[in-house]
Amino acid sequence: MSDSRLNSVRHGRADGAAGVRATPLHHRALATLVAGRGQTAALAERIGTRFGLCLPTTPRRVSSGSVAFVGVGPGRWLAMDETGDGLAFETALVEAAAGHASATDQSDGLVLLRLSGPDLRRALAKGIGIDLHPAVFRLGDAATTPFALIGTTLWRIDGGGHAHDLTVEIAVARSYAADFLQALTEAAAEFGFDLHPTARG
Amino acid sequence: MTAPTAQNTGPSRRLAKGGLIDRSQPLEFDFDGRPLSGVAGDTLASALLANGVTLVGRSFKYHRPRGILTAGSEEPNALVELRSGARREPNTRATMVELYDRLSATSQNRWPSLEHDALSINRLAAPLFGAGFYYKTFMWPAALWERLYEPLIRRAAGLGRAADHEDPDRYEKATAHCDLLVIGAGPAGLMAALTAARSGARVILADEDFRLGGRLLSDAPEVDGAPAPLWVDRVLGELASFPDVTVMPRTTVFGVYDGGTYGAVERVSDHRAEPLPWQPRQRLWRIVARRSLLAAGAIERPIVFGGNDRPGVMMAGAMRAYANRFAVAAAREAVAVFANNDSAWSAARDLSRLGVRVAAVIDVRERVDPALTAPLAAAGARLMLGSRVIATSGKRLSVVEVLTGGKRETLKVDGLAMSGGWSPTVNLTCHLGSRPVWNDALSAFLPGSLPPGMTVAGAANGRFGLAACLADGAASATAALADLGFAVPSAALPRADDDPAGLIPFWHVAESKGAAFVDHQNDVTAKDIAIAHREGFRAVEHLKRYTTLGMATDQGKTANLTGLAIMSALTGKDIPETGTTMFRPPYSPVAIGAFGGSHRGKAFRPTRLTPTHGWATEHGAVFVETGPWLRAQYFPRPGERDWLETVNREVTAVRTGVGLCDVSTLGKIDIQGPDAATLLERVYINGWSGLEVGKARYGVMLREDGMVMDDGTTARLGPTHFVMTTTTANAVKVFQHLEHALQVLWPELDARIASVSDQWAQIAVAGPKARETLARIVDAPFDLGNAAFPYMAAAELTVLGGLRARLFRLSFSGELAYEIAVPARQGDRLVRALMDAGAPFGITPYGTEALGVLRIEKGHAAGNELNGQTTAHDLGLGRMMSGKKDFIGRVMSNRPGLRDPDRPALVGLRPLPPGARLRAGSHLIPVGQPTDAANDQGYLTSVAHSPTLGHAIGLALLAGGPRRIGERLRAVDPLRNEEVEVEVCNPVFVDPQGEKLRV
Amino acid sequence: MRIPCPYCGPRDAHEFTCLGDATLTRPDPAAPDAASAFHDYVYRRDNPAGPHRELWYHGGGCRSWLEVTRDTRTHAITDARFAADRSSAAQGTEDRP
Ligand SMILES: [Zn+2]
Repeated sequence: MSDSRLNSVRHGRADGAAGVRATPLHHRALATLVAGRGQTAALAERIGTRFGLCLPTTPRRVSSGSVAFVGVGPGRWLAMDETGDGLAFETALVEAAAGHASATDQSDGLVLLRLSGPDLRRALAKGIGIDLHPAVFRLGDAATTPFALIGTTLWRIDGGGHAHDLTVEIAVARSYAADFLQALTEAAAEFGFDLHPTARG
Repeated sequence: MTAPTAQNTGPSRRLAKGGLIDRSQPLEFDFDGRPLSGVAGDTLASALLANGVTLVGRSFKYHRPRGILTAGSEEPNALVELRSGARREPNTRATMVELYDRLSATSQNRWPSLEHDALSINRLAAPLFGAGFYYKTFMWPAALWERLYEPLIRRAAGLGRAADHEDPDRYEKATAHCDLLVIGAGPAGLMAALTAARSGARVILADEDFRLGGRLLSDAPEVDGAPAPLWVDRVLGELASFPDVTVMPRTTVFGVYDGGTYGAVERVSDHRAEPLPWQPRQRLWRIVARRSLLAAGAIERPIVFGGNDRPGVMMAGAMRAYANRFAVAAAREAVAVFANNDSAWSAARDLSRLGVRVAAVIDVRERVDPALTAPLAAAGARLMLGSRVIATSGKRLSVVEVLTGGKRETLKVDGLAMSGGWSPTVNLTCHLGSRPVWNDALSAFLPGSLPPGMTVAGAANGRFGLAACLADGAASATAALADLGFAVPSAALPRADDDPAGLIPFWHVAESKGAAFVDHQNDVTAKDIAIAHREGFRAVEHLKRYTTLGMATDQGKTANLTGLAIMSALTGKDIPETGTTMFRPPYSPVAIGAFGGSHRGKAFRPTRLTPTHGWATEHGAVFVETGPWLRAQYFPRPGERDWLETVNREVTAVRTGVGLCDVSTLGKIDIQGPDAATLLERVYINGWSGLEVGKARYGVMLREDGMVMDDGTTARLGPTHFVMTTTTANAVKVFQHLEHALQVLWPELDARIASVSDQWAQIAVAGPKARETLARIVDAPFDLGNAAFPYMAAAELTVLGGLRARLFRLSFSGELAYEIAVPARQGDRLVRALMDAGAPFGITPYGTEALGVLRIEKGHAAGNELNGQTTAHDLGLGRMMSGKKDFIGRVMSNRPGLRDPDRPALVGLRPLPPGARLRAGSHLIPVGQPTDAANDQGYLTSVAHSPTLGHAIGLALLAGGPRRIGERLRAVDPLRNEEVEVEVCNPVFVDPQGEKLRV
Repeated sequence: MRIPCPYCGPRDAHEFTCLGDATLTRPDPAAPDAASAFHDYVYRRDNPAGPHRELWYHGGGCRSWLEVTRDTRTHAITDARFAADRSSAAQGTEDRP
């Protein structure tokens, strides 16, 4: 994190530490996994065996090693692999699911960002309607909900620091990414916003 | 009577000491251009009063001089224009404007000046503006309305002027969540917030004032044996120590909505000349609260008597607030007090203590507790019990006429404090439709059934005493939190006394001389209510509409109950029988900008960018909004005179060479699973099961009512794997439609869908040279030859040395054409590679305009024809409908009315004068027939100039369309007053045999 | 208004689209009275004052079609479930995940 902070560009309030920080997460393989009708249990077993985790049936993120699954709907997950290539990950999922689900590469369809900072909750409240209080939106919790009318999926991760500090990863459709960053920049400006320059790329 | 005497200022009325103001921080401001000064802690109203400015505006209808009536958001009179230029804002309440340095305010509704208002003649024309005048006026000859009455009434009755320029400030919207929302930070609200905070609950405490404390600031009582403001500071200090407690001053909770949602507006920067950097002017909050506690206090109501609107007449509680909180004497010489209740005596006592001479206390009651009267008698005030004020005089109040002991007496005073008792501020309890309930003992409406999750405490609940408010706040919060499962620690209540609150109902001085106002803002008098009664408008809703009582921007906060009481006296029914007062959101006006938030201008809705946006920008594209997308409309080159020349060049390039166009905006849906083909069979009108892997097919989907919903091509990539494309406009709708089919209609189907619209950059490469262009980028050994990859073929392959891609041989333009897709991040690379590959053939990027011309030349229906009112038959696609299966819309599409051969159906049109231009929207009228609705046989849906044919072409929906090819019609554009003779033709203008796309 | 999505939890109504009456079943298209049955299915609606079972699509969230029981007089929502569960239970097919 520290190196990306050095490279970041400050938006909004210039003095003091940034209240909100955004870092792009490039190079992550992403895929939509959709269970076949009535096949969630069978799929969970297969995925569990293959990746060593318990496929969540609620909006949660579950991870094992470099792979994570985020529940985005009944029988639907956003799957990701920090090390993989999109097509290879899709293929791995298809093989693991063995017909109980379909997998679709989304590595180019979504832009992923890590958001953190002491004022993140206040900034996100300007675009998101759900409750991100740490007692309500706990570590590992995920939600699919619009930010400033733009569809997003976000999940809370452990960003280090104080237990009350919010760190999330957020996925936005690529065509909306520029507008999303514009809206986030406006929302976070009063707190000082460090945006890694490659996020706009 | 109105001869101007004094100037609209006088010597300072600031009391020598006291008040919750900071005398060390002087603030300069101006009113109507006159420089004045106040101090930090002032409102504009208190600062005006401190400077002796008692005349601040002219009334709505009669242009009567008006002063400041209240010290709160209920203010009906003191509405001013604040700021200037683009930030000018009309109708701001001077009582709610926090004074800042160099504030500039202007009085409203006066011409040429506040002192000398030429239109106060309206008062002589008062009968014109009396009850029902709007309705009666509308019945006058209509011709006179536009020319005479409306301009007259608009000039005379307008309040304030909106700014002429775009608002330079930002607005924000935000959402907050809490366990308990406390509305109002008076004694009950503070006690509730403190109780909740100590329980560990998430609390929001909101108050419209910039300083919290409510009546603890204005009434100057003692709490725990010390001045109340000290207790307030202590509570606020403790609240600040809880991380999950948010205290929101300058925040009006203006509405209650379903599901525990509350609307609030935070005036973030209104107390500054301009917002600080990065700060919005206002922030609109949606507060989601598990429980709410309404502690909004009570609003004092006027008594209706002759001249009760004269500058100098003020609510007793307001006069008390100006003295206690702002250290301002509302009158210079002496005040009289006129009341029916004990609270006014407490006000009189405070005024007297602070050195304001109280000349008399006039109470309609025969007997008043000696404990209240004695201190005033001792201070030299006349006690006039069993008496009433019948008239006032002076441009600014100078004389009050009192009926006492059967005789009329005049008092020389320049201030009159009135109090008709207190109405609990139940407004928010009514927002979900419940009505307040009359309480005889209190002579007031109390909250009726409450919105789910809300409780009411303190004066808003009819508990007027200070000790009662503190106790009620704590108890109500405890109950609400216990309900949520919080353990609430018990704590001792602060010590306080209850003010005496004795009252007898009294509303209207029957012996009044002159106009006696009920609704100060809408200039409704007691006489207007009598007229409404006489003319039969007695039900409260009729009364409101006939007289406009309570229909001004203040929603009659000071007027509704007195109006109701007067009607009740006229009908002989009691008040609850006469009606109740209802309130709707917003509690007080909210700027429209706050509702818009950041969604204005370009940010009105989100914008989507295509994968080639950066490249298109470099190439000088002109962009156009299509739905949420920003797409390249055309790519002008230096020297081109207008867009038409550019578009003609782009179209010609596609027809003769090769062009490329980003079509990534089409919706793309991945459909997989054993029942994928079955899903397609059920949503498309044509057959799918027979589609070979590696082939694409054009499909049309209907709504269940038989109308066309969308069209597009779907390709089969594997036995159980399809990728569907939708139109750009309907991408979201079609996805929802498929989900509906899979989850609601046929949940037994196992088909899995995922949107891949953003995953793939898709570029159309079209024109005779398309194959040669593509051949330069596809990886060997892929064979692009017509035999190996014919029209409607689809394949997964690699391009540019290993880049994953999908290739579809589809044609929207009618030329040899392909659509090639690569992962979205590679879209920029792909378009540049294609430009290089096509360079030898003069490859030309084209935009949505050329795309439109190409498709009109080919007679393809698009958005203008897929308008929700056309069937597959109407669009010439009826033969696609499979007779072998059911599909959504099949049954209804066979309704006789939808199969009527005379329905408007798609045709082509060409103008008979060769150079004539066609206009979209023109109506089709038979030659020789008059242009009227009876002869209207259809209209032009899409038009273009065809550079291929060298003349204008159009598509139209024409009654009985295809049967009429060769017929001549008139295309009439009544808006432009143009007309051109046209010939009906085949809608496929170019290559009607479809030979070019199969080469 | 807030709708308790069984997957996402309570969400503001802005995230949803309403399609109205959830009690209607798509008629048998092969039945002899299909034309009139479809007419009723597409156009005829009750307008009850009171509890009403409605279809809502959670397009801003999990993309589930929900069957929501809403009192049309008060907007009080007493139940929200997956439409797919309702339909498959009714037709005796397997449960949705
Ligand atoms: Zn949901």
